[in-house]
Amino acid sequence: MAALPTAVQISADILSRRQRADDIARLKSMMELHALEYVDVSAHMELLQAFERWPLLAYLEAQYQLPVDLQKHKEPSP
Amino acid sequence: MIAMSLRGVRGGVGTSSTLAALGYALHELGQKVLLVDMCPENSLGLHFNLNLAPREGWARATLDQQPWHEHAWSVEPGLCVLPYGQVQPAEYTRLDALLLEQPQLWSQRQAALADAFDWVLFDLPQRLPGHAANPHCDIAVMVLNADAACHVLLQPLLAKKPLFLVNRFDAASQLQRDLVLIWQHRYTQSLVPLSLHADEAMGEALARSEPAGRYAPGSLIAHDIISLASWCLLRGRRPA
Repeated sequence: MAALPTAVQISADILSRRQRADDIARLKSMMELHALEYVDVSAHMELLQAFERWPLLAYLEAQYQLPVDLQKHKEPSP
Repeated sequence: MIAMSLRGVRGGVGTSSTLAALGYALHELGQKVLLVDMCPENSLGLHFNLNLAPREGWARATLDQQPWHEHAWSVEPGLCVLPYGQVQPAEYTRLDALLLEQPQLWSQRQAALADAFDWVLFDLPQRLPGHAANPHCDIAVMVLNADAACHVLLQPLLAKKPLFLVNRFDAASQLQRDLVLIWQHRYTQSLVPLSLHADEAMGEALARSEPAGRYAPGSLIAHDIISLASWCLLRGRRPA
């Protein structure tokens, strides 16, 4: 099987086998978009719609969320 | 030997029927299986055409300081059921305290069973903490239905990272689809990666005193249970 030519050569040493099999990981590496996270927008929308449909589920979601770590959001002192 | 338990997040979610069907399916896949009834209702044997509430069982024998292992029933070679035995409410409360005092009691018994069985499946009661905590299980699964009550009961348990299994899933229900979607997103690591579908064959099987796989081998639930048994074999790293 012939390899398609690419503008950026991806070294097998840099990317793990799993990353090489992952198209999005390859694209991120090629485009140097390392911070880009994959977001399944439709699944996220379905989740939001589920919480809209059922107020008890939304209430429980708010009740049992992990408490915010205040140390991480400490205001800088003047 | 792999020890596994099923426990309902509340009563009536189909735990005993699932356990009976799973035990039968594991046996069909070539495993030697013992099912232990840990519930004072003492009715697990009904799924295998055994007597209702037999007098003798492990709990009765433990209270009477008699040998506990002499009361198992052989359904088929390599498939046995150990009943609870007839025990009054005051007695099972006393037994529960005893099980809390002696947390190694069932571990020692499990070690004695290791050569005879590949799997020991415990049908745990929803209440009675001593009964529920005493068997030390490699795979401990909470059974629930995709309804709001189970979702409420699940919340305080999630910190313990339980493994939970959806039973009686109806894909035609918007609420059930939404709940399973939320669980898949929020608790991916805790959710057994397959759901058991609602199927009339499961209820009919008990009415015929049979596990689902024997009553209706071609049914949707029988296929689901075989998938669950295969998942158990993978999880327990046992060859089929």
